[in-house]
Amino acid sequence: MTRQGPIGHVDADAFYVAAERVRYAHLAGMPVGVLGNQGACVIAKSYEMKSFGVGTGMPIWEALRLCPDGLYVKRDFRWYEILSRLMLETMRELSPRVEYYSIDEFFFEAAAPPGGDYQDYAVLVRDRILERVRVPVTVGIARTRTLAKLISDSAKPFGARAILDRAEEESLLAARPVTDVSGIAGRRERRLRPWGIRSCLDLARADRRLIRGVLTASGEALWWELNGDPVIPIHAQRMPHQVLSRGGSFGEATDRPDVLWAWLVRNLERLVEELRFHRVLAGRVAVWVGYRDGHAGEGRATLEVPTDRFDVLLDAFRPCLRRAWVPKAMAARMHLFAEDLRPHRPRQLGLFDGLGADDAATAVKQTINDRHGRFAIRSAATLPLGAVYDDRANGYDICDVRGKTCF
Amino acid sequence: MKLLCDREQLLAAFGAVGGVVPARSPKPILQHLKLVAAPGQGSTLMATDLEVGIRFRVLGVKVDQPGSVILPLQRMGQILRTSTGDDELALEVDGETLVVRGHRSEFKLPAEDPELFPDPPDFNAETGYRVAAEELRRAIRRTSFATDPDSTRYALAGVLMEPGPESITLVGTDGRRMARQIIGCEPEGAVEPPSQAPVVPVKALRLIERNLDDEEPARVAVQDGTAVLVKTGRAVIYSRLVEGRFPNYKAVMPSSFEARIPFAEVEPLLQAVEQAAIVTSKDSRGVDFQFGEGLLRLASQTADVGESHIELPISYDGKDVAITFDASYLLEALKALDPSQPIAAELIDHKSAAVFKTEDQYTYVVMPLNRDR
Repeated sequence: MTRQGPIGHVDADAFYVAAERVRYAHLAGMPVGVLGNQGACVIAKSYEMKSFGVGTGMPIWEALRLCPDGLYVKRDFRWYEILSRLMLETMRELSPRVEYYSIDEFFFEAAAPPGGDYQDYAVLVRDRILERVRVPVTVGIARTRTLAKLISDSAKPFGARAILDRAEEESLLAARPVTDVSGIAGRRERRLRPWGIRSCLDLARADRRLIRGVLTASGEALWWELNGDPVIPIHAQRMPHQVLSRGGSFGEATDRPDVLWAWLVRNLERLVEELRFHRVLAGRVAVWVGYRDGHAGEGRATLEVPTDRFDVLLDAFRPCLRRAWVPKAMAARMHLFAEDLRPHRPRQLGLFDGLGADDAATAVKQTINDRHGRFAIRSAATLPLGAVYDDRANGYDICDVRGKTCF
Repeated sequence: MKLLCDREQLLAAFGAVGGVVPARSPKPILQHLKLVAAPGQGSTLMATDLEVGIRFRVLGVKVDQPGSVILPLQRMGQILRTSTGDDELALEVDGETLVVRGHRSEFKLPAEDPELFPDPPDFNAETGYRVAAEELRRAIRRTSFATDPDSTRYALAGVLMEPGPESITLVGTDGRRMARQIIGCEPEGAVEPPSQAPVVPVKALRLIERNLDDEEPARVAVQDGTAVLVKTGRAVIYSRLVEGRFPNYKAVMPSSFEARIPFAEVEPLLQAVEQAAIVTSKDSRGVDFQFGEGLLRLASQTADVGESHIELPISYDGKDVAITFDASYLLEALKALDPSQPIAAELIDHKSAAVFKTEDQYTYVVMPLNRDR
């Protein structure tokens, strides 16, 4: 058993904007907003745009009113992932254990700082990433990951701070509201309020048994962390998935069965890609369809043998969609789920595997895509989604960013 | 309608038919039972969910005024269970009220219209098959566990009942394993085998199994290729068939083997597999079987759980065979057998179906876990 040393947290500053500035240098210093999939909402903004009052999630027409001279660009997750990977590579040179927490956040083991000084270490990490990737980040180092994240949140933008002294920790905790703790929001915050817990320090100083009773074991873990006792480890390897999912909003709602089917096929292609990336097979599948009137439909099926085969999964999803489909209702969203995930080895063989024809079409599709790029060729069933394909930004979604632990 | 019912007999009848009643239904009448009392013909208690139905002959009913009554399953069941001081209960329909009377108790319940209840069909078939109750019970137990209620590719949510001139073959499969039991039968009348062998849902099979009477053979008839009717000592069970295509199970039945390993009794093999499976988990279900000269070695290993190594002496002197199975698939089959009966394993290689056979015409085919790739 080894005792865990200090933990660092790296968080990119306005990452999507920073990523756009890496390739479009003229955006530097300007108010920049990054728009979501349908171009209707601001999903990230520069500090310059923030100063005009533009917030994340704000509709574009509202943002334009507040910041008419801002520059608005559409998100490109494929590019953001490339930079994210470069940041990860840089971090791995600076620490033996790095957790890829999200596209723009990492935790890292800070047990042995080069030169022995943790403050210098934080500065080194910040400056090395800027030098290599040209993305500004803020770095916090502390005895636990919860404290490290609080430090980096408080040091933004482009900060670097190490706090390992209890008195300094307490002064930081006293200045931050309890909702700054990752995992405390909404209902949990309301549960703490009757006990007079408003700040992070209130939470750290509360009775442990009270916190366990109010926030269960996960809340107690935060209590230990705020008191400097590391109980949430760094996951250098991603935890095995319980469920893989692909899907999202259609943009334009539809009641056409052929369009719904096209979305199912498109999402299944992405789901199969994900199953293969994680080297797992699906034992069960489910499809969920959300309708504009607030209703939802769901269908589930169990596979005879766990599989990642496109044709077999498509056969399983077909009756699921039938069950989830509400005729004449306008469907707005769809999600496909692969559940009961099993590793490739050992793989349960099926009695009737040999009775069906081989999926030759999928094999051809795979070969072409391997050679010419992701989804260079798709199933013909997705043809009704022509308008979606016209916009290249639709080709890569935030879900397609691999290896995160936050999802 | 006015009756005097033997409380214990009626309670037993409730137990026999209650399982059919759906927990939720858009048709509330289906959540009740129907009792039909006719002098001289006995009284019949019915339940149905429209897919499966049962007519059960109730003993100990004295009919003062014949008729029908709808009995609410939950409330009437509670009355029957709690009226322990009464050997008999009087049931009377008074207008729109059902009155149940004991010596010192009286209950008034709303009486639904019996005409609204969809009576399950009675057994009127003149042709069919006669099967020994004990054999049918054994066949159901040995095959129904291997089915798959969620399959979308094939009709696997039930057991195939394939009648032949002198036998009926029951087959249950979930695509990973397959259980087949052949039982003797006696054709009745000029029965023609159905064009498509019926697949009987598991819910109906469990109902049939519960209602078999060892003293009386069961009679089985297929109705228009869409339903099956089974008559047991006191019950008639109706069930719609599972729709869809049952896979060609004969095509996947191995016709030869490389190694045959006899076991004098099921019990030691069952125990060895149970022991080896202790350290398996949901994510790591495999148990390695190494058949060697005179010895079967079983091993399993699961990260964070541990390892197991079990040995079982066997009468085998052929070539070594190694194969990995999901232990749960073997355990379910072995538990359905008589622990003292002999069984034999027939194997080809680590990627081919393994076959377990008993002398009483039971065959269990199970696909291994493939460690290649």
